[in-house]
Amino acid sequence: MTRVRFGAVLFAIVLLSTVLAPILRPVDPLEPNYRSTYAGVSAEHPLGTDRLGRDVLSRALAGGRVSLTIALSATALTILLGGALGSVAATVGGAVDTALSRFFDALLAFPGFLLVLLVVAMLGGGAAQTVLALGVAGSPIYFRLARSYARSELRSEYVTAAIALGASRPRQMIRHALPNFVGSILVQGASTAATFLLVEASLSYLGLGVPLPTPSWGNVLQESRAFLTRQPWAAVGPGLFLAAASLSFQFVADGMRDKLDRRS
Amino acid sequence: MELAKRSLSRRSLAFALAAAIVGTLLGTASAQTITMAMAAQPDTLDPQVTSATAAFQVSKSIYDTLVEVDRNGDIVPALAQSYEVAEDSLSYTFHLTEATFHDGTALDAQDVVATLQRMLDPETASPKLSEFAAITGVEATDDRTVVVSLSQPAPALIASLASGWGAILPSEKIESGHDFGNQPVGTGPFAFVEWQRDNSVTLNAFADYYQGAPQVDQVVIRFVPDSAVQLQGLTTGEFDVIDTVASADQATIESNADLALVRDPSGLALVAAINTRREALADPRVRQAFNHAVDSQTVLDVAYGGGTPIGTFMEAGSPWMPDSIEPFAYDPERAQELLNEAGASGLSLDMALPQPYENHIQAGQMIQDYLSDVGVSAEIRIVEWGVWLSDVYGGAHDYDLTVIGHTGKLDPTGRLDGYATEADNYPGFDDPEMAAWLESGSQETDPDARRQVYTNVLQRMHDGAPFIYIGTPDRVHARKASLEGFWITPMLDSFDFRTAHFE
Amino acid sequence: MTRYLVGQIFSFLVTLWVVLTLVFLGMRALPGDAATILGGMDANAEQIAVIRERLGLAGSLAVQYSDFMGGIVQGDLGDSLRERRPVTAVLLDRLPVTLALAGMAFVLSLVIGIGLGLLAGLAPGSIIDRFTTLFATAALALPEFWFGFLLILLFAVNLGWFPVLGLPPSGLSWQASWHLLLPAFTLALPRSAQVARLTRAQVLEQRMSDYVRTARSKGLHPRGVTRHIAANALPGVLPLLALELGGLLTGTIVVEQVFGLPGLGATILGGISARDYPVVQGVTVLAVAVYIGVNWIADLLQAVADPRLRTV
Repeated sequence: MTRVRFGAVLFAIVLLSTVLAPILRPVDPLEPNYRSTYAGVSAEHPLGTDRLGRDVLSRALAGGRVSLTIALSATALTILLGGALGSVAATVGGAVDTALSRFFDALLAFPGFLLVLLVVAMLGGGAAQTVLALGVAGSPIYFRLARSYARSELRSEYVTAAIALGASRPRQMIRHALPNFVGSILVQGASTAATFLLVEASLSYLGLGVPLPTPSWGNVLQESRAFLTRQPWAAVGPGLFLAAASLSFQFVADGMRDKLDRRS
Repeated sequence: MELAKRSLSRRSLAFALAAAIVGTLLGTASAQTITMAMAAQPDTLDPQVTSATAAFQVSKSIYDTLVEVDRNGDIVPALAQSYEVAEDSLSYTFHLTEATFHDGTALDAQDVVATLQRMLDPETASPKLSEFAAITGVEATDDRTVVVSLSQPAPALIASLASGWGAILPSEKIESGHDFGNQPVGTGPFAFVEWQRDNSVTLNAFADYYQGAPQVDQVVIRFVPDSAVQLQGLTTGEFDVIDTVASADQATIESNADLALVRDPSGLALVAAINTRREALADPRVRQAFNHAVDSQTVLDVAYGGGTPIGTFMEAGSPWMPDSIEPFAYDPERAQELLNEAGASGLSLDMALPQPYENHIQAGQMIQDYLSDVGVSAEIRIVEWGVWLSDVYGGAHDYDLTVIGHTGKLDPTGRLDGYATEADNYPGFDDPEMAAWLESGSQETDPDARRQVYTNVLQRMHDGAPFIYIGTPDRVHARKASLEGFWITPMLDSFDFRTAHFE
Repeated sequence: MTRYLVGQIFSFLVTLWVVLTLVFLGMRALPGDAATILGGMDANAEQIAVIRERLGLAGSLAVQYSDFMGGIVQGDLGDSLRERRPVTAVLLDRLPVTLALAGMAFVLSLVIGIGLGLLAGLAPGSIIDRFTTLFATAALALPEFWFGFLLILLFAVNLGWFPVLGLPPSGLSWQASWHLLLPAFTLALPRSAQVARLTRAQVLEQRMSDYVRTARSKGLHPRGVTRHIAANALPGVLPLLALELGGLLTGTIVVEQVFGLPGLGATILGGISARDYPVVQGVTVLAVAVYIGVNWIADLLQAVADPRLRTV
């Protein structure tokens, strides 16, 4: 429980600092200063500057906006995609169910990171492409989760009773079955968001994610690798932000999972 | 202080230990090895099927050419101890020296014939084929003499034969379809031992080298893309020479007495190409304005670690660069005036930058910033190298601005041909008068007349400004102070270990 | 059992076929090809066409596809367009580096994960248990490549204990294990968190079980009880370990890049940017085959560990 709260507070801090960055730190993350490249930590630049003399702190904050947006929208997409198709498969059944299950099994049989890597490489890097690739790669878990929940719920007594009372199937799905598995899907969602944050950063690090000069945590870190020994704060600082964000999701997921387990 | 001292002594202890282990392992203390770190990696070591500078930088030690470039940039005899050009300039006669291939066979005229025929064979699919297109026949008149006949005068041919792609291969191996790409065999100062891709190439000194055996026993070339890691390796002694030094590290190296920083002009002409096909960019005044808007010296210093600005499409150190052509001055006001004159306002451009070329991407971001100072906005789009080649440089020329370096050419035809005909060049520059000059220049055999032709061409390239001319970056490399005799071939930028040794 | 196996093999082949077809089409949908890249800035359109012909990229997509599939059926992955030698040779060159790295990481994650998991599970509520719980969450949240940066900064740059560079020039040898230690540790950390988490859960479950209670009430020496618990808890961890092994093969891609190691990761990234279709296809076949194979083993282990799942 304390973990959930700690995670939530940590997330709030990271989120607020990136969203309020233009007010908190009104330094343009794209503004170069060729006379002060690779500057170390100072009052003016708390995390120093990069090789074009840009302020690393404002790049980290601006990068956070981009990375968080990508990770959260990809999480939403993957839940919607897997959840919706899983519910459809369970409700409709028959050939549709078989076909969808086969498809997601095949997807699951593929090493996840390689899948995302190949998809992004083929679509060409970019924020939208990354969201799409992550959304597809993450969906099998939610498909399975949604499908099995929906199936067991459909068989349960109150749904049978409702059908006997003349309710249509899809309506039953939405009315009765859905709210019950939203909780577990959200737990899973928090840990997916943590993973996506890391995967997005890895893709950008490999040069396949968000293209420069738009900063994202991944590409800010990727740039910093080239001058790691010269200006280590350009790597350490943004990485701490990324780790904190991912950690906050992870804490929320773990805490909530324990809570759910204890309840059942 | 105390702490620093202690960690230092612990490190030196670890070093001594490591050195002892390595020493025992190698068993020999006398064998001298030069370890070099280079950023790029060859795609193949077959000199006839690649156009990558990195391939020729490595293959320079393995193969020899008929003629070669010396330290002053002059073309001097190599495997051909002399050559004559016929009166009508339609044939060249080469007289070969005595040399031995690494497989033990002796060099003879047949090797040269087979090498050139392999180059001309469409099966080989050499990207440099057009440079040899004028050749109509290659004949061995005796064991040591080769006659190359041409369909038209080709003064640039000697430059091609002096370049890495003019390397001479053994005829027996050519006939048997040997895999030169992975198992290169030449007459060079070092014989190929092993290539571990993405890791290292190992070369052993060739005792029978025709110019005398090299002074070290072994050369190991490591592929290290990261300049910080290269420097780290140089300071810890892992590397003896490194080919990439970031501008921020130059002072560190200069202040270290054990290291030496070497600064030579490279053979690159760095430019930001302007797509003149675009209506907004068709006016030369707009393009000249761009040239005035960019502080090219700062771009060179920050993105490329220093260099010399240029005012036309020729590298700074080239003998073909006319003294009369000055770089565009950094003058944002003049740029604004020119833009106003041309009636260009509110320009919004697409700037395509090639990955993984960090320097060009950096330069592009700087140019974007400079252009915004004169009210021109540019949106950066990073494209993969393959996409850049097929869609920006070739294909539909899908870009407004792009940044790239053109590699050094010993002869101006290699650099300039095609730049007067819209369909043949990526900025889409079109100038019929210049096209006629280029046509005559490629066949003109009188040196002074030829020089005048290319001066005219380069002046036109300056005035028409299909590029924002950035400059020629310095090729900065660093080495241990004790390593002497290592040098980088002017214009071709290849590595020469023949006289390298430790003092 | 036979029907089950046939079914599994069939679905494996279908998956592989779909994946390869997608990679085949996806790679070719990318702008630019190996011929434009080999030609570079000097070759004109005609020369590029000649190079394309030479590389076997000139035929129609259908012809190339049937050649490719025909080759796969015969176990031939084709020739690398960039290295101009068989893809199998390319893979055999790079695989040992990746396997060595993955193997070291596996062992490290095993030692750290099972060690912490056992200690934590045997003493719930203790300091080491709390540390393990925290570690299991935090290690999963660490960006792998960033953690690699930190290790390089601390151990290679500041302390100078490790080389900054991937492999010694001689390639893989016993010397290389020193070079591989930092990357292996980077790779092992998040994985050891998962192992620790599961081990702890399994141990806790065993502690609650009847036989442990009986043994304790009968006065069995605590060390004997511990040995019992460990012996019964560990099989439950095996399936996860098998899964990790499958994930490690592609998990190395990023870490190889951070430490400059010439393994499969560098091969596939290089293959994508050089449009070396056969190499990308080859690495994909290998990765998918290993991944699916290891998943089978995990399923089998699961069945062995949990008799209730034994359906056949």
